[in-house]
Formats: sequence, C-alpha cells, structure tokens
Amino acid sequence: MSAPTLLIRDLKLGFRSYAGMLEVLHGISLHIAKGERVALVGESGSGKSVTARIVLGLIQSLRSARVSGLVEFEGRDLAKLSERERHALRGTRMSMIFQDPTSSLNPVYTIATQFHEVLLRGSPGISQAEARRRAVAALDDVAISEPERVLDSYPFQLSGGMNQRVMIAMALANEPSLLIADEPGTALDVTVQAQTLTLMRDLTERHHTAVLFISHNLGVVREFADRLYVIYKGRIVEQGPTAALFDDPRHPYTRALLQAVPRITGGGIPEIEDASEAYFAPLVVREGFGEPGRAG
Amino acid sequence: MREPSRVTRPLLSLRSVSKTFTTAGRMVRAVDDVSFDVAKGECLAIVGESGSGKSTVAHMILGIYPQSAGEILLDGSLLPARRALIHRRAIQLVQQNPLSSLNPKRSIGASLRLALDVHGIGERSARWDRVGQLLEEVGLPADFRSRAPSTLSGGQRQRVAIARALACQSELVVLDEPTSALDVLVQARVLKLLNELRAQRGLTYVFITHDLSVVRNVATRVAVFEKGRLVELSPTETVFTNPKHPYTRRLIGAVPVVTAQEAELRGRLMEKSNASA
Repeated sequence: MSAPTLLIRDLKLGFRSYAGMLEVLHGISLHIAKGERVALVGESGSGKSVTARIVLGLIQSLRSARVSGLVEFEGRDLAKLSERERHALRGTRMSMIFQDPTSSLNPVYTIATQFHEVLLRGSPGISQAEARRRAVAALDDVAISEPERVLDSYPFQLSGGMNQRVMIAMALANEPSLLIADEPGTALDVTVQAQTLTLMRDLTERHHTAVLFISHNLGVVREFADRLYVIYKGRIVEQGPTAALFDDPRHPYTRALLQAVPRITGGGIPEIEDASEAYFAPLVVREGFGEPGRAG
Repeated sequence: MREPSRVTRPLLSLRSVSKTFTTAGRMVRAVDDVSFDVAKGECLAIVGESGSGKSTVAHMILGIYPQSAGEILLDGSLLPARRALIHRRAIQLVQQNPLSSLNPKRSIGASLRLALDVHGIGERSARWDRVGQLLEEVGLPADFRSRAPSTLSGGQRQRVAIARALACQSELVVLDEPTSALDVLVQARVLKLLNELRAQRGLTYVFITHDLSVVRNVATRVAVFEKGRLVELSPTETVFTNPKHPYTRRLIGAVPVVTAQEAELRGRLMEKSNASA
C-alpha cells in the first residue's frame, strides 16, 4: 500500500503565554488516503483550524508555538523539510480554500493577475497569454459562464458565490494532491453553498484530489465527506465512515452534537448539556477504520 | 391563517411598506410593497437570502431608518418616522454578534443598567438588584454584572443581549440572526431559552434568519422574502410540508441535513419543484 496523502500521528500543539503553556491539541492522529474526502468536525476552539494550518506549515514558524508529533505528506515528514521545500509544496501539491472568499482575494488586482500568480507557482515562467488560456479553462470547469469577463474583474465586482468559485478554480489549478477547505461556503447563502459543495465534490473526484474538510456544520459534512473525525477540545473523540457515524453515533459528544442540530422535519429543540464530563470519554473507533500502522 | 389577527388586533402591522435606497445615482428597491401582520404572542420568522430585504424590514420596524412608502402600526397606532422614547422602548432588538453589540469597555451590569436608566424603569436604588434578576432570568449568575463582556463565552454574551432586550419589558422583540454566530450546542440552549421566555411572558418575536432548520423549530409562521418581495407567508407546518412558492422549495432544498428523514422530506419537495418547473 502506498503512503497516504496525509498522515498525522500524535500531533500536539501548545502556545506559550504569560500564564504558562496553553495546550491546544492533545495528540491527535488522522490520515487521508489518496483521493479521499475526510472531514474534521468540531466547534469553535476545538483545534480544527490550527490542525489545517500545521499541515500547511503556517504554525511551526510562530515563536510561541510548540508542535510535536508526526505530520507526513505523501510519505515525507514535514518536520524534516527545509522552510524552502515546504514553501514549494504550498500552492502546488497542497492548497487551501478559506471561509470568506471575498476577503481572501486581493482587492487591488484583477482575477487574471491573481490567477497568473497562482499558475506561476506550478509552472514557473508561464506567459501571461498561456496563463490566461489555462485560467479560462479552469473557470469554465467551475461553471462560470463568462470566464473572460470574470478574469478582467476585481474581486469586489463579483458576488460571493462567484468569488468562491474563483477560489476553488485557483486552488485546483496546479492539480494539488491535497486540498484543505476551511469552512468553505459558511459566509454564503444556502443555495450558493449547496452549489459550491456539489462543484467541489465533482471536481475533486475528477482530479482525484484528497480533501481535508474543516467544518462545524454537520449537515454540510454529511453531504460532502466519505469519512470523518469529530474533534472536541483538542482530542479526536470519534472517527468512522460518514454514513455509519450519522446513523449510529457512539461517543457522547458526537451524539450531543448531532442531537443539537435543529431538524427541518421539526421536533423542537432538545435539552442538551453544552459541557459535560462525558464528552471527555475516550476515542471511539469503528472496526476497520483505525489509523494505519496501529492496532484497532 | 388570518383568523387570529381578525379577532384580536395584531401587535404589529406593515401596510404596503417599501424602501428604496439611492446608491451611486442608482435606485435600489430593497423592500417592495410588503404587507403583513404579527399577532400577539407569535414568533414570525422572516427568511431569505442575502439581499432579500429581510434586514431592511427589521430596521424599518425598529425605526433605524424610515420607510419610503407605506405605514407601520404598533398595537393599532401609527409609528412615526422619528421614534420617541416610548416607541423605542416598545420594540427591542437582539443582534447577531453579541461581541460587537455589547460595549467592551462597560461591565455587563452597566450595559444592562443603561436600558433601565434611559427609560427610567424602577427606583434608582433598586436598579442594580434588578440587573442581577435580569441575568438570573436568562440563566446567568447575578454576579456576572461586574464582569466585562470579553470574559464571557459567545452563548453567555448572547444571553446578556437577551436580558437587555427584556429589561424594558417590551412585548415585541426583533431577533436578527440571534444564534448564527454560535456553536450548535450553544445554539440549542439559547433557542430553548428564547422559546421559554416567549411562552412565559407572552412575548412576540420577529425572528430574522437565513437558517431554515432553526425556523422549523421556533417559528409559528414564516414569511419568505425574495429580492425585496414577500413571496410566501404561511404557518410553519405548511411551509415545510407544502410550500407554494418555487423559491421556498429551492430554499428548503438547499438546507444541509443530518438525518435520512430530513433528506427524504427535502427530496420530496425538490421533486415537486421539478415537476412544476
């Protein structure tokens, strides 16, 4: 079996502060196989976004951060790579989509200029004309009907949904093997969010891109991911295939989380503890869905 | 569905209300000829996507800016464009983000007391105790009044914002996306609190939101807005089982769901939508 696209083992993260060490991640392990869509679900402050940032190598350079544990990308230990090698991976082999598309695009450059910059990362020396040709094709892929007009626009001239599609096109332009999506579409309307998800699903399937999908929205996760990890206060509490986990949540926290989501079929708002000792119960793993190279 | 408003006078009525904004020499019709009643004690949800005019409606009800045409009545009497103190007391607001709606430099208690001072509610000497009571009514300990907003969690802050709206003892509360900045577990508890307060005190809510699954569980009636127009207004049950307008069906069809039953309901509505298209 070839190495998984992403392998995280016993990852710990702490921040040094005036009051001593602030532990954020207490040893989390997860993996994503080639072309697999995996979600990391948790509430705010659970550590899901910092995990994504560690994979990108953005936390390690902070002076106050203490990171330990193994992060392997396509079989290479990220900690052993030089800053330069890690930089070379970003935007080419791995890329990221952020929550708010409009603020993650630069307002003073046209989409065409920004697209050129993205393509330069993957194909150094690419000409403007060639970049434009590829950008048109990429925008066409994300169902943008007038790619030429969009390329000559500034981000603020486009709608949120349009910007989100541009972001997706850019993120996939260099054919990365891992796409990290941090709450994509939460800033958008539901109808646009639904379209965005379908689009991301189709595209990543076609390009065999593995996805680490960070979200707090269980409904969105159910529709997008093959497998999921539930994270609570820096610990993974349950993992397994999406359908099984939604049908039969076994960890008290997962159960509470699922119960708390209001249903469109009605039934009122249930009585749920927002904090409980039971949520710290040990990890629940489904048979056959443990971490590679480990028992269970 | 109109019977209750005929028997008893509606608490709030909008009659042919419109709002046009002029930006860069262009006229934008944000709200277009909207009329509806809000009965005493109900929770009317106003749903729609961004740009549908739902927040503009809320702002006009609150008197933040006047309507361009039409009239708004509270308990049978016309609300003026410039609201007097008494009108401002009668309609209260809970905003989306409690971190920006509470003054960070002011203690929780001072923020709550301000409402009592402005409207001259209760004896001066008793107000500090009243602030403690208000906090207890929303499920927070009374000694939170000396704390700063930054020391509270999101859910606790939203409870403070609710307590502040209750301080004026108004009947009508406009809730503008009150739980969309909260985590689901916290959201469930805040929604539960809102439901209980409405039942206990006979409050009337105008609940602005884009989250239809929340609407299903708290609202008595739902008003669906699309591009400034009111396209559907029905009891909640009807909207979710037999929506009339295609836009409503599209909206429900896009909601991410967590159970098979929900997916089935959604599929059924979408089928109808395709059949009628």
